[in-house]
Amino acid sequence: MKLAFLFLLLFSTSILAQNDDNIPGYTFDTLNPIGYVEPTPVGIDEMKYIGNQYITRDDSTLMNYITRIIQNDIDFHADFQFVGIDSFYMKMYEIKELDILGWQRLGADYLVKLEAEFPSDKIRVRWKLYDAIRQQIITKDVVTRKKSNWRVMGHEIANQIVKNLTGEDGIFLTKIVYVKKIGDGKEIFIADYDGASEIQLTNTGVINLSPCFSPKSNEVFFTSYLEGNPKLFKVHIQSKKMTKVADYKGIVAAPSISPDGNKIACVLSKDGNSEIYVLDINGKIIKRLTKHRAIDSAPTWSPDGQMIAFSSDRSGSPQLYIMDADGINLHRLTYQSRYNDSPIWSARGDRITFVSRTKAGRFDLASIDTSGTQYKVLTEVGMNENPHFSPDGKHIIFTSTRLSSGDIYTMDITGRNQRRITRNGNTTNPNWGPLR
Amino acid sequence: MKQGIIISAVLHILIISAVLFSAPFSIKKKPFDYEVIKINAVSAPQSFAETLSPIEDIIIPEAFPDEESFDIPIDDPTSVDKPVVIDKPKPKKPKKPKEKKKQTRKPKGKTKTKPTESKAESGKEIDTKTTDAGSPFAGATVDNESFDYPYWFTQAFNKISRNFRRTISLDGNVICVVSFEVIRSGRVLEVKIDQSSGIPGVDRDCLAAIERSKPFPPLPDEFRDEIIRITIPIKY
Repeated sequence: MKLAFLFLLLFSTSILAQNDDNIPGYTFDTLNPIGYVEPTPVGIDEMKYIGNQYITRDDSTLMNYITRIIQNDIDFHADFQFVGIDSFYMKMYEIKELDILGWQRLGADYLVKLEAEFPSDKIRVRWKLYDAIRQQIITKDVVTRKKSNWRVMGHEIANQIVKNLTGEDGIFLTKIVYVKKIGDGKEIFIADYDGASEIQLTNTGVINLSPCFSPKSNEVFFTSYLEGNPKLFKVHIQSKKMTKVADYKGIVAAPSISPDGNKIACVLSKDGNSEIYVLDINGKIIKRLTKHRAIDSAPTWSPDGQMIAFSSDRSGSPQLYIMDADGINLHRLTYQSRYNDSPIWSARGDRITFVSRTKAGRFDLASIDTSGTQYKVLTEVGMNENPHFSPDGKHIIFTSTRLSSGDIYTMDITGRNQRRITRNGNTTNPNWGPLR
Repeated sequence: MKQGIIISAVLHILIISAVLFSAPFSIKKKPFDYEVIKINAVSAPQSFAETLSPIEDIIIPEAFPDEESFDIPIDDPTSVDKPVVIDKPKPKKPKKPKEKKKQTRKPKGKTKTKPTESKAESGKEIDTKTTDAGSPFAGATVDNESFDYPYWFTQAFNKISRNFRRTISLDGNVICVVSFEVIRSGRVLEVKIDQSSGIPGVDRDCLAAIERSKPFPPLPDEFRDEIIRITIPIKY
């Protein structure tokens, strides 16, 4: 009798120690980036003045600021890292100015040289991109802007550098939207991708959530409690005019705009519980996609608009599912962890990032192949939620409580280079705008 | 009877204690716990006073870059660290390009591969210092001898390497030869299998890696022709 009780006690502890690792066919594989390649080091020299006139203190500062914008942008990009002048190296060898060979010795594979002039009230920057190893010029260009547009100029130059080195458009002129607590309400804000030039879009005094850029128009769709129950609204970025889009019984929430900009996948509860619906861009129901007594939520479109991923607790706990855009061929995607929610489909189409409750009991961001394999955990600190991809599919923006009550962070798709974008706390629900 | 109960109770307590204080249940210190260190620059150890500014009293783990260095105060354009430029700048003379030398990079703790060196079957062999993408692309060739731009190949192969996904477990003895055409803008015109590996999954993965890597960097301005064809024997 005693032996039997002892055996039962031991057996029960082994049951407690079991976790999701024992699900056949799926194994955790954390923090092992896929297709990881060392970022390419790019040296960016300080901007030099090449005009003939004396320049003012403000102009000198302007040159410095534009250089810093370019340096920050290149360092931000997943494929590159910024190499700056090593002051110790310069002093040690009594070097006043580095030539290309010197930059190559500092570790740069490429070098960007910047020269500025000030015609009338504008600034003209000549930039040149060099192959530091072969010590050859790759390309060069000239950009002229008003002095007040110094941020745009810096981002444009960085975009051109990225385009010449990767063939893809840079994301440095994209915008982000997010939700920030103001008084008793939560309002929608828009800013540059790096958090600069923040502008408030809504001023309702109520709770507004889940902002989502339209890929075609200059509008942001969001859920608002302006009229009591949550309904779907949109706000124009320039005029800040708010318009109601969808008003149905129950809740209208979690909008996701299709890549062609013509449809909205969202959650409606008008038939009793949360289901996924597809609406047209004016809010009229096209089709109901899910019919299950479970809670279905957080729809996200694939980049080709052919499939939708969403979260559902039909298996007993929130897990991710994929279905065709018309609701057929529904199948489960995730088996790792007992809680997976808030999926977002990569702009490249091959991976989905989502919130996963990890072994530590925290909410972390994880990503998975669309075939359901290669599960990777991307974060390690704080509670991390609301992921969204950049339009180039190489960066992720998300909310984290690691250093505050909630701020916006970015990282690349392998979880590296995590950066804080906002600093005021109480900031959540980011969404990355399209390339324009 | 009483003795038996006492022995039984002691055994239970021992077992339960062993389970509770064993590794899965022990309370671990959370990684990246922040130590809030209040410092006074006057009384702080010399090393802290030198490395930390007085307002920084939270140590950020090394995993996070120092965002403070990129803060730009947009409302205060007059605050500047550098001295005002008052000297008349001298016009720069363009430097003549030096002889082409094969430069070797100083290793900086990163794992970088050697240049690809293998005989080409047709076309010009590509000699490029690829980074982690090196070994799978050994033996790559380009069909135009005048296309001599290692930096372009480095970026292109890095891109293919990033987008390469293995769906089949093999031990690297299978080779699939793919070729693709790139035009001046970087757009890819045609991707095809020149020599199949014999395994459809391998061929599919190699094609998919090229497809996912579109577009490639634009062809250099100095290059006069409009199109190049690159052939890569990919080791799987």
